Amino acid sequence: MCKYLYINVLLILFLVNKTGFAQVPENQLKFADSLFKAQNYFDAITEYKRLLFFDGNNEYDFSANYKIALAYKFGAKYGSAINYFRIASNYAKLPEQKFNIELMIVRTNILRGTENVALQMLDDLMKQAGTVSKKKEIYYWRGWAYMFKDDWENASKSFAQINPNHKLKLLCDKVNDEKYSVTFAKVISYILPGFGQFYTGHYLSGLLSLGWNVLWGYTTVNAFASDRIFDGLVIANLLWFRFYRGNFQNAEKFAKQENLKITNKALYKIQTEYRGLKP
Amino acid sequence: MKRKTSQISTIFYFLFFFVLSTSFAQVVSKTNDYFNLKNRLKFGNYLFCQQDYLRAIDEFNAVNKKIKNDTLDFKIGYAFEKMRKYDKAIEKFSELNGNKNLSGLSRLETGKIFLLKKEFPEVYKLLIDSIEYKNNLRQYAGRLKYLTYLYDNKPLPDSSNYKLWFSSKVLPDVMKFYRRKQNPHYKSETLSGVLSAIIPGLGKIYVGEIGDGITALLFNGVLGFLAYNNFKANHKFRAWLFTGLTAVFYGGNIYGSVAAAQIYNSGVNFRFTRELNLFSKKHNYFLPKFKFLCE
Repeated sequence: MCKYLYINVLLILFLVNKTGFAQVPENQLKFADSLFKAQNYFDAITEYKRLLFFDGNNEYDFSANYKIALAYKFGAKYGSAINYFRIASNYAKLPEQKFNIELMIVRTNILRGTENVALQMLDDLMKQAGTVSKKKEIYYWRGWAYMFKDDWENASKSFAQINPNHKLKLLCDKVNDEKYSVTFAKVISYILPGFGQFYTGHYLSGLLSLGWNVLWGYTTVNAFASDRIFDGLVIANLLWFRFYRGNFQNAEKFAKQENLKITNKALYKIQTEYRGLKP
Repeated sequence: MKRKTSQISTIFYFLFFFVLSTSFAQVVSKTNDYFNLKNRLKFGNYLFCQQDYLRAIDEFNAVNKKIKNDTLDFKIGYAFEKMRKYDKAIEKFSELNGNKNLSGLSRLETGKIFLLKKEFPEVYKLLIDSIEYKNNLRQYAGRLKYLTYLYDNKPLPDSSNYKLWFSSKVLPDVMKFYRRKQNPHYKSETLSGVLSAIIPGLGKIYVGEIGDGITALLFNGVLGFLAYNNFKANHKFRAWLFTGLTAVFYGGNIYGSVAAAQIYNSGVNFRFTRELNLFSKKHNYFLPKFKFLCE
């Protein structure tokens, strides 16, 4: 009886010994996670890296690399984030994990301003996506990529694929309606100088442009009508054409400026008011 | 029977304390394992070789606080240098001044940093007494010094110095830079201005801006002709208007030609420095490659 008791006690001690080994990486992971949760991303990365360096069993290769990538992403180190997402992807065992990492890379690319890469990746993912929910996710991030690319029309189309009344779709439509047509602003200024500026709400500039063009246009025509060919050529070349060119260039510039304001306002609104997933 | 029980108890107690003590020691040591000095150093070296210098510095500093290590100081300085925190790197290297083994190497690295910072007099000050360097470091100090002359605006030393310090493998390339530095293919700003004063646009053509030169010639020619023609036809207002315009364009043409020569010369300097930088980086500024840094 006593013999069995001894053996049991010894066994327990060996087990304690074993669990002592096992707890070390776990504790390190907990420590790194706590730093991550506290948004202390720099130190969190260090501790995840330390865990990876000492983790002989390669047990945390996926989770630690993934967390490092996230920490880099939150710290706006997008290039490093993408590198670590790729490393984590190599250790991902489930297709779901790989898919999610690809989406994280897409999101990082959107933030980094490389929307074309993000769109290309989404196209590739769409070819492999089997389920409707995955396709919806792809449409969602495609919409975001187009929004950041300032292509609100395509963004609206992408969100419409998820739901015709999607909140972001409606917002994209609104932005699209508000935006000025740069081509129209330019063309109308070709035909009627100053009207491109009127179209974009720059009335004073439009009036000035119209005035200068009328003045130098009239003077040029008058010179030609009075057979002062040379005067006509000089006034037309050095004055009228200069103001005419300035007129449609200005119209284009104003349209672009106003569009940028509208885009920035919309993006700010999304950033502060939209409650759904963001890149 | 009683004796047997007593023996078993003794063995049990022995095993109990043995397992307990090893278990305790392992648990305690393992919990702190990642943060003991040896492992921090290991991890720091790993980060250093991964070029994660900022984190590597943190690890090295943690070790250095407990056990002062000159090699670590050197590594920290080197990491700062790689991060382009030149002042901190210099500060760290200066701490190694009295060190028997690393003083020379840290001075060489400091010299390189001064070169990167374009503080050339400091490089000379540091390397002028290259005779002081140990024999194996003298050659590096000499090369760095003569490399600095290629960056500096000082008169170049005699080419024989370069032949003395640089190996035959790199010497032809070094001499190419030497010749380019000695005889840069500059365009004379004065000549460019004078040429444009004689024939408008000719200075620009001399600098290589042929299109601009022809445009300047045509503009000045047409405006000058118009001024002359209007004077001839007694259209005084137009004649003076075109004279004024001709004068403005003529002055602009001279100024533009001088500016074009300046831009051309800046381009020559820029290309020279860029190519020299690439060459120097390729050869690590002719400094030794430290194997101990990433082993």
